[in-house]
Amino acid sequence: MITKPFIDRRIFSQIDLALICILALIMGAGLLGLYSATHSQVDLPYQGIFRKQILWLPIALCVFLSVNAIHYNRFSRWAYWIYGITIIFLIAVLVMGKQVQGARRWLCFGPFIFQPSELAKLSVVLAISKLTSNVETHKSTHLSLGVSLIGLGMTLLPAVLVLVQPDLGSAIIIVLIGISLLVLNKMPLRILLVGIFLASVFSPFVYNHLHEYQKARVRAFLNPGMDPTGTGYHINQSKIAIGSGQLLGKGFKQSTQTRLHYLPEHYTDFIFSVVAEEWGFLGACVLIVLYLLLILRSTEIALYSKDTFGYSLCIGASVYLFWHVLINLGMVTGLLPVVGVPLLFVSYGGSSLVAAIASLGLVQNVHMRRFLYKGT
Amino acid sequence: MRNFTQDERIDKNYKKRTILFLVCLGISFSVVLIRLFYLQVIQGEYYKEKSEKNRMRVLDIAPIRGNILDRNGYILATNSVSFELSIIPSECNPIQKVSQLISFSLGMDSDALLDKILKAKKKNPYVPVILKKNLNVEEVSRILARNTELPGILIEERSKRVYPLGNFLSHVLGYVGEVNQRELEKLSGMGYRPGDMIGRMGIERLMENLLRGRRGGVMVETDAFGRILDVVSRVLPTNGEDVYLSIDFRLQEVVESELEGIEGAIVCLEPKTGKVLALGSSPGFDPNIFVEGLSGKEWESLSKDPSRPLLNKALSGLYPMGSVFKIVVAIAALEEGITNEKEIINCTGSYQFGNRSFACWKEHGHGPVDIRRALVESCDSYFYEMGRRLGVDKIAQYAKLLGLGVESGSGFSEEKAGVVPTSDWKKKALRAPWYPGETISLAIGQGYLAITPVQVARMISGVFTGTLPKVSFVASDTQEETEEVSQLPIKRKSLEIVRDALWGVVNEPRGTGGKARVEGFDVCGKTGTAQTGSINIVEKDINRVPYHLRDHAWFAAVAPKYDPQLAVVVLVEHGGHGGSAAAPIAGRIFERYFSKE
Repeated sequence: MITKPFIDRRIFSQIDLALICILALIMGAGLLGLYSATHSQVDLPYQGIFRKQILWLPIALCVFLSVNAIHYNRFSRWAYWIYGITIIFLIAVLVMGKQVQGARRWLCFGPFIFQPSELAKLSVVLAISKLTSNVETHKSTHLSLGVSLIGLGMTLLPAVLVLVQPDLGSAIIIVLIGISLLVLNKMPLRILLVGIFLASVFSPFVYNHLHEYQKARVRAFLNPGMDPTGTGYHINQSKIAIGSGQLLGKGFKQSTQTRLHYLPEHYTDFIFSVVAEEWGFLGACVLIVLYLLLILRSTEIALYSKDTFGYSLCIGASVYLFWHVLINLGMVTGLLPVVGVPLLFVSYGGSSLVAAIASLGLVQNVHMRRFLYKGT
Repeated sequence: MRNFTQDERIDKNYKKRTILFLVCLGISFSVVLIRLFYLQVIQGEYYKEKSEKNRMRVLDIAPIRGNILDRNGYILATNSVSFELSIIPSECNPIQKVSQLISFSLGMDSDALLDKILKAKKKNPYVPVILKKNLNVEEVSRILARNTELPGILIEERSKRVYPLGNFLSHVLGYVGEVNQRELEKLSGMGYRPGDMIGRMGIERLMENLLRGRRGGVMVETDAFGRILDVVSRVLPTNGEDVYLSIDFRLQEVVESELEGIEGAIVCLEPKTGKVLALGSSPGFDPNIFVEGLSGKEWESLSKDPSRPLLNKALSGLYPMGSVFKIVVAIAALEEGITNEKEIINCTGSYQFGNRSFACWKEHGHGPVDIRRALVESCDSYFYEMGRRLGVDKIAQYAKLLGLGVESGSGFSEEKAGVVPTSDWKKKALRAPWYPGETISLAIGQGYLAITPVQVARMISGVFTGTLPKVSFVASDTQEETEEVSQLPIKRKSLEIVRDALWGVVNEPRGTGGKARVEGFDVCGKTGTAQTGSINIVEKDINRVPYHLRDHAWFAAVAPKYDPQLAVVVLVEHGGHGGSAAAPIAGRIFERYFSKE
């Protein structure tokens, strides 16, 4: 047997430049927005934010490359292990996580802190892809009931662990990703409808078990004018920021809502408001279209992947992006309650960036290996 | 390692689901884009305005209230600059040391100060908190000397109303106080804000619109914490205008000193113009106490004081007029032709009307008197008869003509019109008919008659000038003076008879006002002794009558006779006889006034 190089060089000739370019544009826009949101000379707490995010870039690049280096079939073999480790992390974070404002969401490894909930989103994609991509499933027109239920269980376990941190936003995202991925893997729609029915029956019960701040956010969403300085404050200030951007925006670094601190969470969950205020409707449209292209590209790759596991990884990345972007935009424009979902590649934060990059790395991985040939 | 075959490529079942996903993707992104279009393009203008409102604040710059000065420019009311020390908690580092230094410099309680700053810091660290008001210059310099060790401190100038002479002229000047809720509602649209000062009495109230000036402001950009980041625009305030009064400071000094120790009022008018040269009401009050606000207890003790210090007795005090009213009856009688200067009436000391007997003040009577003698010696019997002949309504007609029972035109809102009774008035106010006997009392200025000293001063000025200008406290240029002052519709001859008689009151041996005589300045006047109750106490020694039942002493005078320069009205509450209690005061005022000119 000939000793093969660790990475087959031919693979990199197949790299998808479209995906890379779109991603680079989004991340460029994101850095611009983040810089503008935190550049202030007066406010010391924000001064390090932009630099820290820059430091995450090489890490993200390494993750992207290493995910590409390994044939995605290996991830198929490792999927349940990764899932298992994620569950352990999620339990660990509840026990020994770093507590910030009453929530345990972060694990510390020396200077690095990371959010296992971000890893959980990726692990659910891997595990469900592994679960659904086998010959029997491929041959049948529908996912069997048993596999569907296992898939739902795999989704709900990390979601519940995340919910009790508490992190409602990530829990919702995990559930949405898991269910969408099962549906895209031919889960019967009847199961989905029954699930939706059961969820709506039990939602008052769940609402009663939500934390007070979460309840307040739901109420504020339902009636934002109710208390403009309290819980409705986020939504109102965000709408003012976006709306005041008008068609062409106020210009780079000219966001008054941000500069004067009227907009909270302006460099994390609400960064889109800053972008929309500074670049206007046109700028916001450009960013949204870039996301749309990214999702469409990864869906396209899914469609011509050479096997169902590859399809599932790519379509998983699509729904991963789709739900994040949709919920974040819905939230900042006042269409959805404020649940705390970051805008991928733009919001400040390393864990969500790395997880999303890894997910797109898998898409690239599938793209490069879309032709039929043997080997790793 | 598995071998993958063509079979593993996705089939149409997968593709159906993918198309479903793409449809969801298309719909949901369209919704977001439509929402953005709605917020940014359709509602953009609205949100733009909201974001401007978010960041712009207007900070007021208070105007400085105008000064009040006498006719020669003596300052009667002005403003003092006081300093206010505040601190921005977020910049105050280290808090312990700073608060210790401040408390040491100003002699304040260190712990309380620290507590105050810490509390403010918790609330909003960027908004200045006031530490001490009314710092004097020495305290300010002590703070400024340690400026570098006290980060975050602010010293602001505040202007505060000051009446440097205290009680002096207090009733005319009035006072200012913080505008209250009721006034804010009543004066909405006039630009008052809570915390503003407003004139509450006297000139401060009358000239409020001139004195207060117009507020300026700075438009600043603030952040969500209220920190000021930038000044966008600035409109300077328009300070209030100075108001010059017709008051003569030196004459006022004389009046104030004459009022010391008695209760009553003195009015000095310029007869030809109606300008007030001096006006005093005793006891007075110190208007400075109202500037900082009175406690309920202080207010109560002032407002319930039986000597009524807050009342401007010259403008708002209502009194029966006593014999001074005989001037009006005399003019009415001459004008109506019911008597002439030659008619003589015999005074026996009592006057029989119906089955009632009215006494003259002179027990054994004045004997035969004509109108001149009746005025000079203030014979009651003569005027009882004139009153009977005229009837109440004719008397009232002439009283009103001479400015009694009507407002003097000062414009002071606290001024009272008083009452000159008529038969109609009694029917309306008391629901009773007028009895002829009441006319007899009215003829000597008793009964329902209730007028103010200022009206008396205006009346006597009118008698000597033949005109009745409005009373005014303000030097000419500020108020429009276009109003023609018309001649009183009274025959010159009638006025001459009365003027001559009033000269006699002061300058003839048997005149009742001899104590007001000033050699070389023909003082003309009339005494009055107004009964306070219905009981006519026949007691020669005034000291044996209880204070509150003693008669009010009046004296109204003008001098010199042929070129009236000064009209003086003196009212001494419970002073007894006008001739003995009031006339000497008027005499001294004339003397001082003319000796200084």
